[in-house]
Amino acid sequence: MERNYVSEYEWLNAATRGIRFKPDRMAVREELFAHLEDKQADLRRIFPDMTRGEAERRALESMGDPEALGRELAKIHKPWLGYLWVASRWAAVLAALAIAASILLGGTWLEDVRWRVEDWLDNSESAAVSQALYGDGQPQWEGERLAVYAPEAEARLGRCTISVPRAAMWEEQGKNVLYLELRLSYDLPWERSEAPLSYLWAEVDQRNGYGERQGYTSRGHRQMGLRWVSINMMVEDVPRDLEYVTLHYLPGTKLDLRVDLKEVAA
Amino acid sequence: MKKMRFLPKLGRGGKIVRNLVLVAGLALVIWAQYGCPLPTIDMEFRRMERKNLLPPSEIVLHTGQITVSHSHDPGVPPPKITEEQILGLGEDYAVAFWKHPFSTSGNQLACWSFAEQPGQVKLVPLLYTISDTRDKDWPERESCAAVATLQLPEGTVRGEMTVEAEEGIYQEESQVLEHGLCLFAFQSRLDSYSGDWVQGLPYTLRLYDAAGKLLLEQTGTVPVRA
Repeated sequence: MERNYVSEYEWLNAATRGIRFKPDRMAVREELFAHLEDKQADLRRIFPDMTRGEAERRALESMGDPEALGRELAKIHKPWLGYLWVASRWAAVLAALAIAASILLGGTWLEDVRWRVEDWLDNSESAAVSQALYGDGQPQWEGERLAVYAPEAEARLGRCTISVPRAAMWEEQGKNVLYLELRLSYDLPWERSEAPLSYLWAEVDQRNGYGERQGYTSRGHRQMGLRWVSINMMVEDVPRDLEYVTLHYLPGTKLDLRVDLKEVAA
Repeated sequence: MKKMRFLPKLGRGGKIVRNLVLVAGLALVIWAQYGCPLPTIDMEFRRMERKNLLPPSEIVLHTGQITVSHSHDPGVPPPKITEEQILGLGEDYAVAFWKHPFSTSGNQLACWSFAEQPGQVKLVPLLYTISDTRDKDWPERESCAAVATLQLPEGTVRGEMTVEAEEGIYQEESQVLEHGLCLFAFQSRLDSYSGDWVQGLPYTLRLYDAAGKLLLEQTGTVPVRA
């Protein structure tokens, strides 16, 4: 007894021909084939004397017109959705491979993580330096603090506020050194940048015969918060009775921030 | 044992959305890894200005779009500009921007003040990279100091610039470029690969009209970056 493979094969072809996305077509074909098999098994269980060929014929008949079914299936299984699904899978795999390659090939990824960790460590170290400079911390360098100032100097530059909340005069190696806690507070956290710190410079009170550019060195590293960066700017070899310094920035900004040195403590 | 399912079973649309979100996230990581580069050099320049708290300047030069004429040694190939640069002009300052080819962290900005030379032709020393066959160890690359002169007198078609270094005098010529400026490309000295060697040196600038008549002679010091 032979199974009517040809008619079953043709019926399935006719029913799935309209599905253009091949993986869908194969899946639907498998599903319809399983239905046919189930129907045949049911018929033969109900009618044990029914031949296999007869069961197949009747099962196909009960499934209906394959052309009409095919049209309905083609409407449901849109090819672009299938292609988009495949494309999205490949894109995800390629993106993951690109990241893996950039990590393995020594991209800036690991370096960046290391810098962030170092930044974090520097932050706590720099906080200790600031505490020693302006507060009651223990300095890790040789020098004597002569005065602490509360300048209250503040200016706006773009979407950033430049301020000097604290300052201190120290005597180091026989010279007076003025420290300014220079803080840049940004309106928007993603615009935070430490770049401007390297362009700010201090002009020492010209009445004392100075006027040179100062402040390109610092004590400790810069500190960072979510929206701010700060640094302890060093202005070296200044007179003890210095009354103010003026902070300037890049040309074009016309920043003339006068920092009055109002003594609050020794 | 029944398999535990922590995530809902997704249909095809759900899987597409999930994959696209994943791709977007991974692409964001890659983009951030290269310093969040922007599509055009102009946008990079504007971002760099904002980052450095500078007001927006007027872009007067894209160096990647011009050819530099020069009178270098015979046998030295013409300048091959590898870095894109932008020159912006403000009220009394100029700002130059160098774009790193691969990462935004390598981008650089430099400023020059014109506050001390009011009414004069403005000079801005830029940097170029040119090929130089004289150096056998590194023949492909040499920094070249290119001095841009801005706000030229009306009618200027050609300029000559002389720079006095310790070991001698360097002279270059330039036609007026489409942006209305001259660009003098000074080759680096053999003992110095610093492209900014012209900064701070005394110069003489002569500008001529189409008939060859001298329109302006200006002397001074090449500005040093702020």
